[in-house]
Amino acid sequence: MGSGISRQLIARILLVIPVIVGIVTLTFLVSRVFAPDPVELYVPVQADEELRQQIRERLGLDKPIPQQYAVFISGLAQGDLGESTITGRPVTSDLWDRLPATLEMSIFALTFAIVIGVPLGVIAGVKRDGPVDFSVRGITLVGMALPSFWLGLVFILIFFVKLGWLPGPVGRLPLGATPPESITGLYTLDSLLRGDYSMWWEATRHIIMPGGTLGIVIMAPITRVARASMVEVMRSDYIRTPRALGIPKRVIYFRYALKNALLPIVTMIGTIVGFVFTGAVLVEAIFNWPGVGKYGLDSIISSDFTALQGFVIWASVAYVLSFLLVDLLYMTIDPRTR
Amino acid sequence: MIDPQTVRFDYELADGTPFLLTASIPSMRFPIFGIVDSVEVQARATEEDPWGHEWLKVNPEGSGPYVIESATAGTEVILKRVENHWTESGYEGFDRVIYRVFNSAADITALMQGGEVDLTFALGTRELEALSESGFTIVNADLPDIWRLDFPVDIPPFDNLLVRRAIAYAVPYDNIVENAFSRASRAYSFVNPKSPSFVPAWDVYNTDLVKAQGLLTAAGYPDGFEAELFYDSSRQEWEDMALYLKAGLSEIGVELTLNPLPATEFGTQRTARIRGEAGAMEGLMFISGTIWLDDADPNVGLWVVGGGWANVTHYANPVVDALHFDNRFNPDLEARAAAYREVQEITSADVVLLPLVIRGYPGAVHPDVTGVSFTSDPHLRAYLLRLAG
Repeated sequence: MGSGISRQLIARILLVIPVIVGIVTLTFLVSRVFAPDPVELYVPVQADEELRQQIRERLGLDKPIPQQYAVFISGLAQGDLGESTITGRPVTSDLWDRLPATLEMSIFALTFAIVIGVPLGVIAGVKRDGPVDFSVRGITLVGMALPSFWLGLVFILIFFVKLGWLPGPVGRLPLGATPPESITGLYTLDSLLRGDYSMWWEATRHIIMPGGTLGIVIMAPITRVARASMVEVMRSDYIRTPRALGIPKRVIYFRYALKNALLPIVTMIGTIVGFVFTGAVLVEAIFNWPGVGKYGLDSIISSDFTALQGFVIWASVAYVLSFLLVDLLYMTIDPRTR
Repeated sequence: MIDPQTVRFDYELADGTPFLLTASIPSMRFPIFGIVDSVEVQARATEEDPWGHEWLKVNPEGSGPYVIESATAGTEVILKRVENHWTESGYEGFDRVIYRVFNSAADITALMQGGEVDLTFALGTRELEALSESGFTIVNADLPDIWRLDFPVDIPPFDNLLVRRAIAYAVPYDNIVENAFSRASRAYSFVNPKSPSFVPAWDVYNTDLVKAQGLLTAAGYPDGFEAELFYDSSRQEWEDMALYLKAGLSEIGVELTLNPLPATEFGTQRTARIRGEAGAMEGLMFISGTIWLDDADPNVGLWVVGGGWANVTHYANPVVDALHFDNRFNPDLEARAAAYREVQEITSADVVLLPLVIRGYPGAVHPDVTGVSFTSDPHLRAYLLRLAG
């Protein structure tokens, strides 16, 4: 049986490869065929054709598309996504520098959403049509209807401008503060590991609003799915039977019901992991959070197509890998899928 | 070099003729005037990059009161004050000055109100007025930031002079100046008013709908026509101006379709239009420009000379071209100024473009900060900033 799981695992991982190759190819073609001529970003309006041709040659755009593709794939295999026209640095380095910021906020938001959202959904499902259920349904409805950027702006207005409890949208640390020496790149963790508690306090204060905003946004669908799944499970025969046998409610809810209700919740969380790890673009933009999402948005604003191409590839790979993770979790939770 | 702290620049034309620079240059901040350490740069120069551009890109050279402590492209630059500066007295400004990029005007406004940010020059009229009401000081650097309406003179119906004149008399100038802006006034030329060759050539055009309707009828469009208006959507003022213009032109039957474009897309389209690519911005265009030199030469050369680097209108007039090219290096300054005044009179009569608004370079400053001043190009003189009291 163990070798069967391994084979399935390898098969799932192998299936990811053509998907990623397809995404990379599509991204390359879109950036070459539909994007404006990148040469225009390097030259002034009055530049003559000779200068434009020089730039074209330097960027490798004078070669036929298949040859450009071969060069691109060859570079990609070595982790080379090209050079950003705005930062003048390799896109891989830019993304790598910004990844910890996105990861830190994602971990904060996911923890917030799962720790609060799943129990809320479970309780609402168990206490169906009661006051708790109505409250949870109302809250999740509002949570799903509110755009993240609006929620972020309201939080800034209340907690920064009016109350002054939390810092403004200046990123991960106060303006001009020197980040802690990097161990993991996560400021809250690095400052703790370095024993710099004032830095930890600042990093934590700065992540509460953006992480909380993202957490609330992603908590709503998790809670709704958890509730719906729990309602479905509570109707089933295998719950009715232990109830009739007088088995304690706590055992029924947690040993029988929750385990079976987990599959849709895991699916939803897997989808959300892909979303948050690509940087929840709007939340990062509102809070000036220097993550990959803001990098992607900045690249759109400044027509930095090499950077945008790198961001799209990163986002696609993050999604594909999160779905792979969901598959693997499925195999662990539900023996029928093995 | 006259002495270790003084450098004199002598200009000459391509043929070697000495050339008197007629504009005042109170600042040397243009990269072409930069003074770099030749030994340092040459040590990094390569055969492919003989000027050391690649090294200079990440190692800025200078001799000012601050050095760059750290910089993240597109995000932040932190300046650190130079101790023991080469000037005798040195400088006594803030130890550090942080320039930070924010994409959202709402964020900047909130950060100003929350006391995190002391100065901003990136806000629109409405946010500035809101901050002014909250007690912030509004400064307005004395610069000729001119906002105008440009006509595609090679595309019907705007190739018809009578149509352009009709529009010139239908524009609601007062509405635009008073409601889309604050601390601004009507512009009467596309040339810096401080230039000796400035002339308010567009003061002949005032809102007169009867005259506008008559001109439109004479042009063969008694019922008006439909047209497009292109502008940069990143600035709220353009949005407001577009609405006022649409309402104004609608009075004479000219129905505008508004085409706001994101800043980079607008820039790309504008370049395509200048380069003559088919289908690029074939309609009215809102254009703005700040040429701080007190001279008409760059404005004329850029915008109204045939084939000018920024000539979005595609206007080409041999008389204008001759006046420009025959006089831009003319040592007879009075004759030179007269030539550029004539250029403005001709382009006003031809209604190549309509200057609408002139304003400075407005910003908001925290009440605790004093000493805000600018070079004319304009750059904030960070070393003169002080805490109030």
